[in-house]
Amino acid sequence: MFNLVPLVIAFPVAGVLLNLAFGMRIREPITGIIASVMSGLAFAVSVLQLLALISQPEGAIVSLGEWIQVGSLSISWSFRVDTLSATMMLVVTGVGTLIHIYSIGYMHGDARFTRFFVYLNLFLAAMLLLVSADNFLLLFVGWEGVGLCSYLLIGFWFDKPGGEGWRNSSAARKAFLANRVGDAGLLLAMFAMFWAFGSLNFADVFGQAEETLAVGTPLATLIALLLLLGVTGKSAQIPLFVWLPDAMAGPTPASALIHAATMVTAGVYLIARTGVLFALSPVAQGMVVLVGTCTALLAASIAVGQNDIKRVLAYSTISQLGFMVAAVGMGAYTAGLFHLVTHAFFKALLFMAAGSVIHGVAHGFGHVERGEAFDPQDMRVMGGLRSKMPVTFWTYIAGALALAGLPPLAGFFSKDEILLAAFEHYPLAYVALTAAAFLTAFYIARQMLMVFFGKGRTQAAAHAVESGRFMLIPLIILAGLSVIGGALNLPGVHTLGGWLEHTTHEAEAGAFNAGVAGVSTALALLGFGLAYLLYGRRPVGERDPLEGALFNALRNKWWVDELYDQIAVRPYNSLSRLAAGFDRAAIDGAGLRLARLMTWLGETARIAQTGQLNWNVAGIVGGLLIVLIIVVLGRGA
Amino acid sequence: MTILQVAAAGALILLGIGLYGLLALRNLIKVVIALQIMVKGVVLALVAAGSLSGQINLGQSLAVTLIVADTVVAVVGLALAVQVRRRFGSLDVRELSTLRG
Amino acid sequence: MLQVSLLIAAVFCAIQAIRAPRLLVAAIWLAGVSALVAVLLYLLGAHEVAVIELSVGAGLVTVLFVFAISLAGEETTRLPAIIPRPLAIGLVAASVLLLAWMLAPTDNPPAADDESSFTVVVWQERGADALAQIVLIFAGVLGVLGILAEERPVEKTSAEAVQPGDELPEQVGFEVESSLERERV
Repeated sequence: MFNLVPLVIAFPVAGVLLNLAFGMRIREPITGIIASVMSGLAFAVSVLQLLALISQPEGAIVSLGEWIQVGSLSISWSFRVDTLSATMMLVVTGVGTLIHIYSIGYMHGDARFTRFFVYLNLFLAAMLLLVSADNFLLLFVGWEGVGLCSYLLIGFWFDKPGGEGWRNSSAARKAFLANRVGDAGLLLAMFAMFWAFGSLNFADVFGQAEETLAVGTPLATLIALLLLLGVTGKSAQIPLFVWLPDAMAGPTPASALIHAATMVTAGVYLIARTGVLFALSPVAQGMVVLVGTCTALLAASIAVGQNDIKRVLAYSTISQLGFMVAAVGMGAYTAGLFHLVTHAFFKALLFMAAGSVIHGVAHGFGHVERGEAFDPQDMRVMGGLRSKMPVTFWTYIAGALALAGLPPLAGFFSKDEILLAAFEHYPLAYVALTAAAFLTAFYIARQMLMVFFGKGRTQAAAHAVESGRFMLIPLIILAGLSVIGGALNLPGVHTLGGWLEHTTHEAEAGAFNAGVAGVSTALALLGFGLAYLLYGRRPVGERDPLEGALFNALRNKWWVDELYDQIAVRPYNSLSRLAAGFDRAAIDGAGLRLARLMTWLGETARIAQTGQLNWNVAGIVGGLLIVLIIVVLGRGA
Repeated sequence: MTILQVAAAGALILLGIGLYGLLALRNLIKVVIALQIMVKGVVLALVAAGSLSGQINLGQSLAVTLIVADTVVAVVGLALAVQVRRRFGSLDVRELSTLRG
Repeated sequence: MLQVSLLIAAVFCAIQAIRAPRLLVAAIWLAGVSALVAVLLYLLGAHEVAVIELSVGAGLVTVLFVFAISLAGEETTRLPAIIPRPLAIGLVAASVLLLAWMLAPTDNPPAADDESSFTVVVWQERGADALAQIVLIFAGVLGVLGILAEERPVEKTSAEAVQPGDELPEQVGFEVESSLERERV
C-alpha cells in the first residue's frame, strides 16, 4: 500500500502533461475536469495511505532509485509516508480538489482556462513532492516548485489593461523575490547540515543531530535559524510577509490554493518535520515563537484597516500562520498542525466565498453601471448581499465563525490548543496571541457586516447574483468541514495528537483548560459586539467609523512596504543602475574595443592577401626559411 | 671535387635558380619551367644521397617516383595555363588575382 | 673536370631558361638542363634514372611544352617582377645558404654499395611507390581532361557568381563600422 505513494505526485503530473498535450484541442470544461479528476485520484491515493497507516502507524520509506551520486553526497528519489506527511497529503489533495472544482466555475470564460489548470496541477504536484520527500534536496525541489507556481498564478492576469496587468506581474515578482530570500536560508541550512552530518536524508540528519549535538550548540542554533529564514519566506512571517497580501492579484482560486491548502503551510510543515533540530536549540525555538507571535499580532492589526475583501483575508492568513508557527516553535506540533488543517478548511472556504462575492458583484456591475471606475473587491461598494447570495452568505458565516474561534467550530479547538500551549510555556506570547485572537474576531465581523448586512451601497451590490453550482458545492463541503473539523482532535480524545505522535514524538497532550477557552471565547464575542456597534448599526460609507491616526497606520499597513522600499528596493535599484553603467562602459566597451581591434587586424592582414602567385610563393619560401633556421639552430645547439 | 660534391652543389644551385624563377616570373608557362628546374635539382640531390648512403637503387626508385609526379604536375600546370589563356586572354599571374577585398 | 664543366653548363642553361623572353626558347633551354642533369646522373651511377630523365625530362616534357605554347600562344613581352628583386634574391640566397650549411659535413666516405638491383628495389621494396605513380598518372589525366573540357555555359555563371561574393564582405564591414560609429556618438 505504501508503495503507491509516488502516485500521489504522478497523478497531478499526468494532469499537467495531458492538458499540455491536448489542452488546446478539447473544450473548456473538459480540461478543468481532467485536472480535477487527477487531483481527486491523488486524494484517493492519500486516503489509501491513511488506511495503511492506521494498521502500521510507523509508516514507510519508498525509494524509486538514485538521483544524484557525487562523492559522499547521495540523493535518492525516496518518499516518506508517515502520519505527518499523510496528514499534509490529505489536506493538500482534499482541499486542492475542492479548489479545482470551484475553479471550473470561477474561471469559466477565461481565455487561458486550460493554462490555469495546468498551473494548478503543477502546484499540487510540487506541494505533494514537498510534503512526501524523504530528504532535504527533494523537499527543496518541491519548495522551489511551489514558489515558481505561485509566481505563475499570481501573475496569471499579467495582460489586464489599464496598468492592472503591470500591478499583477509586479505582485508576482515581489512574491518570487521575497520567497527567494527565504529559499536562500533553506539552501544555506542544507549546506550546513550536509557539512555537519554528511547527508541530507531526514533519518540520517535527525539521528546524527540527536547523537552528536548537545542542546544549545551554536551549530544547531545556526541550522535552526537558517531554516527559520526559509520558513518566514514561504509561510509569510515577519520580515518576509509582504508578498502575501500582494499575491491577491492572482485569480481567487489561486489565492485559496496558495493561502489555505498549500504553499504557506510548507513552512509550518518544515518546522514540524525538523522538530528534532529545533528542539536542540532553545534560542531558535524562542525566535520562532517570537516571530510567529509578532506576525500574528501585527497582521491581525493590519487586517482591521483594510477595505479590500481579499486583502483582509490575506492578512488574516498571515496572522493565522503566525499562530501556527508560534505553536510549532513551542514544540506543540499537534496544536500547530491541527490549526493548519482546520485553517485549510475555513480559509479556503473564506477565500472561495469571497471569490463568489466578487464574482456576484462584478456580475451585478455588468448589468447596471458602465464606464465608471469600479473595484468589485472593495468592501465599501458591497453590503446587503445576505439575501442576494444566500448560499455564499451561510458558508461565509461558517468560515468566519470558525476563524474567530467560536465553539464548537473547528477554529475554536485548534486555536485553543495553541493558546493553551502558550499559556503553559510562554505567558507573554499567550497575551499577544489572545490579543490577536480578539482582533481576528473583530476584523472578520467587520468584514461580514460590511459585505453581507445592511443595504446594498451601490447598484452593483443590489444586482449581485448567486454563483453557479461548480462554485457552490465546494463551498458547502468546506463549510461542513469547518463546522465539524474540530472533531479531529477533541479535548480529552486527541485523535490527531495520538496520530501525529508516531512521527513527532511529542509527549505532552495538553489538558483542556476552561479558563483559557473561556477567555478567548469571551474576547471573540466582545470583538463581534464591538464590530456590530461600529459597523452594524449604520451604513458604512467612504468614512470609516474608526477613522484616525491609528486607523490610518493600520490602513497603510504600518508602512512596512514603504520601509522595505527605502532600505532594500531603492539601494538595490541604485546598485543595479551602477552595475548597468559598469556593464555598458566596461563590459560592452571591452567587447566593442575587441571588435574594433579585430577589424583593424583584419584590415592590416588583408594587405598580405594579394592573391598573386608570386607573393604566395614568397610566403612559402619565407616559411621554408624559418623552418631551416630552426633546424640549423637546433643542430648547432 | 668529387662527383658527390658536384652533384650536391648542382642540386643547390638548380634549386636556387628555380626558386628565384618562381618568385620573379609572371608568365604562367615560365613558372612551370622554373618548377621543372627546381625538381631537376631535387632529383640530383636524391640520387646523390642514395649514392652517399650506399643505397643508390633506393635513391633511384625515389627519383623515378619524383620524375613521374613532376611530369604530371607539368602536364596539369600547362593545361591550366592553356585554359587561363583562353579565359583571361593572358598568361600574366597578376591578371589571375580575382581576390579583391 | 668533366663533371664541373657539365655542372656549369647545366646552370648556364637553367639561367637562360629563366631569362629567355620567348617561351619556346625557354623550353629548349629547359630541355638542355634536363639532358645535362641526365648525364650527371649517369656519372653518379644512376643509369636507369639517367635514361628515364633523358627520355621523359628532355623528350616528353619538352614536347608537352611546345604543344602547350602553341595552344596558348607566344608572349614575348618581358613583364617586370611583382616582388622587388632584392627581396627575391635575398630569400633565395638565404634558403640556399642555409641548405648548404646543412649539407656541409657530407664528406664522409661512401658506404658500401648494396647488391640489390634497381628493378628489384623498384618492384619489390618500393611497390607501393609504383602503385602511387599509376594512381598519380590517372589523376593527372583526369585533371587535364577536366581542365581542357569545353565549358562554354559555365563561363558566364562563374563570372556572375563572383559578383555577390564581392559585395558581401563590404556590407559586413559597413555594418560593423556603422555600429562602431553609433557607439562613438
